[in-house]
Amino acid sequence: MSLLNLTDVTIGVTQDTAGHEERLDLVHGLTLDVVAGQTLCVVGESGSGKTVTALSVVRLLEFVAPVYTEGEIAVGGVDVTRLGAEQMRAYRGARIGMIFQEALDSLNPAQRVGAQLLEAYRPDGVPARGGLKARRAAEAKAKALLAEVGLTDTARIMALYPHQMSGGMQQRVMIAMALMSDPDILIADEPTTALDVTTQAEILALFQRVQREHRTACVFITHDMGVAAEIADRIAVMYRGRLVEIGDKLDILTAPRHPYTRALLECVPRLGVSRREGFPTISEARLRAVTEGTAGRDEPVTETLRLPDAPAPVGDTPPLGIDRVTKVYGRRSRLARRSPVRAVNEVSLEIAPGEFFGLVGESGSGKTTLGRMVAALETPTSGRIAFGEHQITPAGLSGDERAFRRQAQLVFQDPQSSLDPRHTVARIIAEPLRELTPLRGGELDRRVAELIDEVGLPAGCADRLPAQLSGGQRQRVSIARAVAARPRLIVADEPTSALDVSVQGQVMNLLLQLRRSHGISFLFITHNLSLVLSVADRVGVMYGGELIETGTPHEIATSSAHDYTRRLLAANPDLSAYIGRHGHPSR
Amino acid sequence: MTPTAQMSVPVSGRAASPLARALRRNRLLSAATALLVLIVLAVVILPPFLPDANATDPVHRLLPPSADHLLGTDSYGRDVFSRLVSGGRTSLGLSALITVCAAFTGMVIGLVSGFYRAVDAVVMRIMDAWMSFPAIILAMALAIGLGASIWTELIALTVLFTPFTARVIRSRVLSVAARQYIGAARVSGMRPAKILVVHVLPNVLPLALVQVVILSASAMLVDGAMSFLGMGIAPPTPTWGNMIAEGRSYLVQAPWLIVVPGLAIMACVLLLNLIGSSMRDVVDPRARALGDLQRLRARGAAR
Repeated sequence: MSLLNLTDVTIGVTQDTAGHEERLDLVHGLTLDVVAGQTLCVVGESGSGKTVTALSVVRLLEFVAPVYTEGEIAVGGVDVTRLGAEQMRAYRGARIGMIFQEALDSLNPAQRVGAQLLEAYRPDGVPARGGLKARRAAEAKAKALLAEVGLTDTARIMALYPHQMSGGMQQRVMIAMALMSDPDILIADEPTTALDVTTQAEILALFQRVQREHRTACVFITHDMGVAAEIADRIAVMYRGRLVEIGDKLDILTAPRHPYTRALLECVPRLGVSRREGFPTISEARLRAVTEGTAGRDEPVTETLRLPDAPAPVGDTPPLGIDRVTKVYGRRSRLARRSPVRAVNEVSLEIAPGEFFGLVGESGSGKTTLGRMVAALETPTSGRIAFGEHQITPAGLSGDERAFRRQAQLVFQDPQSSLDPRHTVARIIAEPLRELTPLRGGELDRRVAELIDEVGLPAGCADRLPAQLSGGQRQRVSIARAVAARPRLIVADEPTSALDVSVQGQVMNLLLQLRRSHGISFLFITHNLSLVLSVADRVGVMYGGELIETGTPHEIATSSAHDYTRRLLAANPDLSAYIGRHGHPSR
Repeated sequence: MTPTAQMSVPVSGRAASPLARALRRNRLLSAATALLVLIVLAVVILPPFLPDANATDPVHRLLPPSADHLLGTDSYGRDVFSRLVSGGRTSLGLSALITVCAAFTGMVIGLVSGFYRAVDAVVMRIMDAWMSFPAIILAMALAIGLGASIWTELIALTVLFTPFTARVIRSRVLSVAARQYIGAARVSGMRPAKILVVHVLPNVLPLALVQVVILSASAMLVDGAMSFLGMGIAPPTPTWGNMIAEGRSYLVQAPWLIVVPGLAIMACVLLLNLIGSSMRDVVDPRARALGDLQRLRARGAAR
């Protein structure tokens, strides 16, 4: 019998607009079930309602928003939507455990981990009473669980504060904490999204083992099909608040029935599949046609860009030369006993004119710092970077800064924060034109309109503020700003990591197109190995501030000499094993 | 009172302005603003229609409130209502002036020291030392050193309030400066000084406005205290502070002498604080979210 049953669940918020209340449905008529001992992965892009669904099972949303829930959410046969506040409290933690995305945010920074673990021990759904005996039981349980999640040094771990642990350790503690009261159901909301791939692989393996051993039913929310493929027994795909498809993992991955699922699978970059000629993207219009029945269900809903064959001549693009560059943060001083950090250590690198160079590494590998030095936002501690007639040395940028800025531009990671919230799109794009080019007045407006069109934004966007745009549109604005002054080199620092896969395809296509049409060199920084291997001409792997390896994607993927690269490849959640290597999922 | 109150709030027509919209949505804010505007209007318009604030009349001294003298008379037989109104002119006017000056200097210092790290290290240590000195004593020392006059008080209080404003503005500038659009502006080739004006200032301004309103409330209080101590504007020019000072000898016989200006100061400070905190709700999304959450919790408990 299934442990968790959602029957025709509709969840929404009431909005107070102009005096009268309006209802906005976030999830429509959702029906799904989870069996004890199984993991159901709920996969969807942002705004698909997956997190809303998960949070309303534990009924956490009612604390943050005026929500309403219709339909039935049954946990072991009891409809939790009808429980009183007191009864519900006995369910949270004790019967339904929850693991959140940001472990550091979910742990109390002012309390030792041990105390927090003990607090979570509620064997009968109520805080444990009975003094010393219950405390002993709780402590024994906490120690056993910590050992189980791989933190064997239990006494020391329990005395630590959350900030003294790494992200992976924090997430392990969170898993142990969720298991403290032996819940029947475990809900995990993107628990590995904030982690590096190697840590993610460890946590996923651990999660799977723990779930099998405790025979908990598990709802695992993720946006990453690769992660779902690793961990799920069954997969549910959500799109715009509706359940699109639910089925066994193999069925979904190898023979998806719904066109959206198929499209989503196709959009995920895979090892061994080159996307240098363009990424597939989901066409909204075609998807609508298929779902409304005006087109056959087997019609593809993805479009794949085909770039023009002849690339633009690289012309006057100079090569970028990075020569033994080191960046050290902090100085050894007598006042603050902090040792200096070597963010980048003796990195040498050449990027040929018009080349698309992918730089991959985990957090703290120094890849962003290197990018910022190439863009002359930081000066190296030693070494030098040469681009054409410009040199960046420890003394700073030599020559005219504006001339350099005309040549080299940077696309930032988070389009939310890289656009001034008070400036309109047109003003944002005009900024580099005003500063770096002599264009003024009508010519300037014409160039801005041209750029808006070139990056595929609707013309009406010009007067909008960033808050009125979607994530993908914001990143397009950011790219338009970067190409405005016709640079020869673009440093793209994780430009797609804040975006959904289908939108990622669009943004990557745009970058590829710009490269073809303008002959721009790219230094593309990312943590996504599948993405960079499918798109770059050459790939460099950074680890601990050092560039440990460079090579073509093929060399890196098949014959890497370096241990770390191989570990990275092994940890990378990839769909290639399930899906035929030639574009479409095998049927 | 109601018609005036409504007139002073832009009701329609300028719906596009965010301030007007905020006023319409937030009843507390609009009511407090209306009342304050009413007080300011009264203080500005009324004096010509009232008896001279400095006309003494020893025969009718210490009269209780009556139809002739709305709020009674003081120890020299001067009409308390006239003095209250013209004292309001000086008190409100001076506080406003102090606020503007302190806000301006604080803003400049805050912007510069938040944005240029080298300046920050020096300026903020000076501000720290400044703030650790007892406020009123600093003001008194300045007033004694320079002689009590309106200008001394202006300088003293500006000096006093500058570090507080500078600190608040600086912390906001620091958070704005860490946003990526500042880096993007640098990549666009913008000079730091221009970035400060084009990107940082507009994003700091809403919070600065809130800070200014709250600052003006403290300016009123300190100004009242200064005149009470005789460091501010010298009698016979009335201020609310020196009215309380003069009335305190007659606390028992004529309590209205200190109750009336005291209430006036209290009302203005309260209104300014109310306006400040409701403006913060409008400007700061985090404060608004917190407020909404509290309301939600209250509603949940009521059900």
